[in-house]
Amino acid sequence: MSIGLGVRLDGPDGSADISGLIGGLKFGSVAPGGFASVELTLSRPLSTSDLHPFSRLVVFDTETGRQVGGGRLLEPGKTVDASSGQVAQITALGEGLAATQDVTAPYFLIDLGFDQWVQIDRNRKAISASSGQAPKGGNNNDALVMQMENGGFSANVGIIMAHRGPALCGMQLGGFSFRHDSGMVASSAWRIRGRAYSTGYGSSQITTDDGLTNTMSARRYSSVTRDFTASRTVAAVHWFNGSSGTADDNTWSAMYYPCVLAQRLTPQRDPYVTASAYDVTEVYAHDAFIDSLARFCPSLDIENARIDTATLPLQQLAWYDGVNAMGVMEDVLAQDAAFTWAAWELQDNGLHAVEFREHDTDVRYELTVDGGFSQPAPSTEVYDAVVVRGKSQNGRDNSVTVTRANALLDEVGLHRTATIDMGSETYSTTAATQAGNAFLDEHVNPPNAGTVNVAQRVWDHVERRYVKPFEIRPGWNARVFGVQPKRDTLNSGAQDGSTIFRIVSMNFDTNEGVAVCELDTPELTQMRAIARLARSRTRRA
Amino acid sequence: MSTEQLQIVDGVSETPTVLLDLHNSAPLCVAQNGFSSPPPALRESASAALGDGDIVTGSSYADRVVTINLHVLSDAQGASLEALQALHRFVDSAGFWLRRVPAGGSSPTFYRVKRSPMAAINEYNGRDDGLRTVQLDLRADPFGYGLPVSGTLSIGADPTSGGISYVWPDEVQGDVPAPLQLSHPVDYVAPVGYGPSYGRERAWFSTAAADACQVTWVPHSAMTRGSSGGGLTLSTVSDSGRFMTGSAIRLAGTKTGESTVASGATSLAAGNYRVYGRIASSDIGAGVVPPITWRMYCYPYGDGPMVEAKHETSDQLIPGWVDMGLARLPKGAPLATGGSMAWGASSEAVAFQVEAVTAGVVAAHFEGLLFVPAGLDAASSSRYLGARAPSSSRVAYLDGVGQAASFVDEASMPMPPEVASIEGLGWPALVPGQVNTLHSLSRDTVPELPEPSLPLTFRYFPRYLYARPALS
Repeated sequence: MSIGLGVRLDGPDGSADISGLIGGLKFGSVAPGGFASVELTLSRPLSTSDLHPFSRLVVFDTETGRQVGGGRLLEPGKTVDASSGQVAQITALGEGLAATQDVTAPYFLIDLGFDQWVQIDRNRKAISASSGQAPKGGNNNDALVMQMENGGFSANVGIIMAHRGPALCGMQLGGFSFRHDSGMVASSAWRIRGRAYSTGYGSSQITTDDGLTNTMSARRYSSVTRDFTASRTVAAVHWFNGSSGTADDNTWSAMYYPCVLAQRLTPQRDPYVTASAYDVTEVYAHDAFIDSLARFCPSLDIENARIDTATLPLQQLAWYDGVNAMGVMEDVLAQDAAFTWAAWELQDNGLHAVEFREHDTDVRYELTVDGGFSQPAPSTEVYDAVVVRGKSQNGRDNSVTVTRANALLDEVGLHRTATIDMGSETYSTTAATQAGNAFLDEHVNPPNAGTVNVAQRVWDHVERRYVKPFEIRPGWNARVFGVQPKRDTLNSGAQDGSTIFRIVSMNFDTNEGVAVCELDTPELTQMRAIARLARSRTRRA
Repeated sequence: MSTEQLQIVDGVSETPTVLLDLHNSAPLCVAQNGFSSPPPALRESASAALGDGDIVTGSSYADRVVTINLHVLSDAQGASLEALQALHRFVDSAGFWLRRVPAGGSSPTFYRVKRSPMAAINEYNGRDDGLRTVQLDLRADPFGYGLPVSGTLSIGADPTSGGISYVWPDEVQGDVPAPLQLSHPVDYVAPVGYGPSYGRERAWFSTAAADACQVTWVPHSAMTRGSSGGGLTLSTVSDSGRFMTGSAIRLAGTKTGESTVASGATSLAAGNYRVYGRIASSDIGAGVVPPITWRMYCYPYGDGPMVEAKHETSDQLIPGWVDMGLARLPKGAPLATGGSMAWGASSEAVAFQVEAVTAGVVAAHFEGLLFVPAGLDAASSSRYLGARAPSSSRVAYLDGVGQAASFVDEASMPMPPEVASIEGLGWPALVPGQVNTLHSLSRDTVPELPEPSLPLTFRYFPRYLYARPALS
C-alpha cells in the first residue's frame, strides 16, 4: 500500500506537485493552533530550486483529497553535503501559528485601569485632577479625583482627563463608562461630562452630562453610534463649571470604575458599531478571537468559522507595548481554559478555515496501545494553591491567591503552591481569580504527559469513519484501550480498562509511518513557549 | 524464434532509434546469464507493534538495479576501446532508455536508466584483440515500461443519463498501477452572468476494485419530500431547462432553523463516500439571502449530521454540485479486514435525511444526492484530484506521470496552473487486475444545462516489475 500522501508547493508563479521529489516528510498539528509544521527534504539541484519566501506547502491525503497538513515556508534550508547531495531541507510553519505572529502592534480591547488616564486640558491653576482616593474617608477605591483649591473662582473653570488607548493602538473607540461621586451634596453648575475626541484632541462630542451629587452614580455608558461617531479615538472625562463660585473642602468629584472598550471588528472585518455591544464592562474570549484575527490575520477565514460563545467575562485586555494575535489568545485562554482555537485547511475562497471551539468532553478517537504508549505522570504538577501576580489598575503590584482542596495532597499532608505572573496587560482581580482557577483545574491530578503512537486507522466519532493516523486532530479527547485508568480530570469515572486523554499534538513521520500523539500535556504550556519566543522582544515583563 | 535484444534507444516507442546495441552487434554481446533485472526492493514504513505481526502503514519501491555482463568481442584493441567509450558516454549521461526483448519474446520492456556505475572491467592479459568483460550496475526507475496505451473516451456529465463514470472496458496492462495522462477540452464559455465556464473546475476520482465502484445518484423524486412549516414552504417544481432531472424540491419562505428537505434510502457498499448535493441557494427576487447549511443525517438519527456544507448563495437558481463532505457509509459499518474474513452485519442499506439550516429568507432548490466512492473497503485504490483550469484555457492536460497539470489557451500558448488550482493530488491511475473506474464531476457553480459529456484523450505506460508478457 502506498502511503497516499501528496505535497503541493504554492509559489507566486503557481502550484507544483512535489510529491515525487521529496523525502523525509513530517508534519503535525497542535492545539491550540491547528496545522503546526511541515518538514521535508526536497531533492533538486540548488541551481533549479527557486523557493520563494512565504511559499505554501499543502499536504494532501490523496485517497480522499483532504488536506492533512500544511504551512508557510519558514526556512528553505538549502544545503549541499557529501552524504545527501544538493537538497533543500524545508521547514514550514502552520498558517494559524504563522499568521497569528505576523503583526505585533499595540492592542487593547478593554481597559479598566487608571494607567492610561492623562490630563489633556486644564484652564485654571486652582483646578487639578489625579489618580488616587477621594477625600472622603472609609473608602479605599481608586478613583480619578478632581479638586479645587479653596476660594473664589471665575466662570468656565474646567479640566479634562483622557484615556488615549484607542489612539495609541491605532484603533477606534467603541465605548466607555464610569461612575462618579462628589463632595457636593448636589450641584447643577458643576458638571461631569463624558467626551469622545479625535486623535490630537481637536473636535469632541459630549456623550454624557451629569450634575454632581454626593452619592455614587449609576454607571454612565457612552457608546459608539449612539453617543459619538465611529471615528473617535480618545475617551475623556470633563469636569466643568460654567458659572463663577467659591470652592470649599467639598468641591471635589471622583470618577470611579472607568471602563474603556476598543471598537471591535465583526467576522466580516467591518467595524462593529452597534451601541449596545459596548454598554458593558467586559468582553469575552470569542470577542478577542474574532477581533484579533479579523484585525491581524487576513489569511484566516474568520467569517465562516465555527465560533463558540464564551461566558467567562474578561475585564482587562490591554497590551500597549504590542502583542500579536497568538499572544492575545494565549493570555485569553489562560483565563478561559475551556476553549481552544485552530486554523486548518485552505479553502476554496483562498482562506484557511479556523475554529474557536469549546473543549468537547466526549471521546472523538478510539486508540490502542498497540503502536506504542508512554505515560509519565509527574506529581510535581499537582498544586492546591496558586498565587497570581500582576499589576492592578492603579499600577500597584498585587496578587490573588486561589486555593482549592486537593485530595491527593491532603492524603499525604502536603501543600503545594505555584506562582504565575499575569503582568499588567490582562490583570484584574477577577481575571487573576479566573486564571488561578484555570491553573488549578489543570493541576488537580498528575497530568498524563505521555504519548501514544498510532499506526493504524482509528475510529473517529466526529467524522464517523476510520481515519488514518495523520488525520487525527489535536484538541479532542481520545480513549486509549489497554491502560489502567488513572485519576485525571478528563477520565471517565468507571474502571473500564480504558483511559481518556486529550490529544494536544499529532506528529506524523512518513519514514516511520506512525503518528505520535502527545496527551494531556497542559496545552497552554507548549504554546506559551512558542509565543514567548516570538514575543520576547516586544512584551513588557 | 527471436533472439535476445538489448539496446540503448531514444525513447519508448514501437520503432525507436537504436543508439547503441548491446547484444549481437559486434563488438558488444551479453554474456550467458549476463542480464539480471530483479524487481526492486520494497521499502516499508512499519512500526514495532505490540500485537502479533507488523503494522505496515506505507511502502514504496526502491530503485531498480539492472546488472548486465557484457563481452567486448573484437579483433582489434582500437575497436574494443571505441565500443567501451560509446558505452561510457551513455552510462555517465543523465539518463537513457534501455530496451529489452528476451530471447523468444515478442514484447519490449523499457527501462529508464539513471547515471550509473561501471562495476567492473576485466582485461585478458596478453591479448591484442581487446577482449574484455564488462559489468554494468545500472540504476533505473523501479518499473519497466511497456509501449504506451492510448485512446479516447467520453465521460457523461449527467448521472441521470449514463452517469459520470467511465469503467475501463479493457484489461489494464502491466503488473503495478500506472498513472494516467489525460487531456480534455475546456472550450465552453458560459454566457455572461452564468458563472465560470463549463469544464473549468473538475473533480476526478479514480478507483480500482474487484467490481466497478460506481457512483450512486439518488434524485429527489426517489425520496420523500419534507413537509412545509415554520414559514417555509416545500414544493416540487418542474423546469427541464433548469434541472438536470427536470424537477426539484423548492424551498421558499422565511425561516430560521433546521428543516427536513427530504428523506430516502439507498444501498451502498461499505466504505468512504464523498457526498455531493445538487443544490441551488439563491437570492432571486428575495434580496440578499443568508447562506444555507445543508446537512445529511443517517439512520439511526439523533446524533448529529454525517456531513454538512455551508452553501453561499448565488444569483441563479440553477443547481450545481455542492461537496458536502466525506462520510463512511453505511454509518458505522465495521472496517472490513479483507475479503471473506469480514465479520459483521452485511446490510448495505443507508437511510438518510437531508436538512437545510436557514437563517431568514430562503429561496433554494434541492435536486438530489450523489455518493461518489472515495475508498471503499473492498477497493484497492482510490484517488482524488481537483483541478481548475485558468479562465482563458482551452485544453487541459493532466499528467499523472509527471504529476503536473498544464493548459493551452486559444492561441495555443501554454499556461501554467494558477496557484492552488490543483488539490487532492491523487493523480488518476489504472490498476492492473482490477476493474478501473474514472469519475469526473464538473465543479463549476453554474454549469450549462444539460451538461455536455466530456471527451477525453488518455495515455498510460504499463509498468512491469520484471518483463512484459506478450499481450498484457
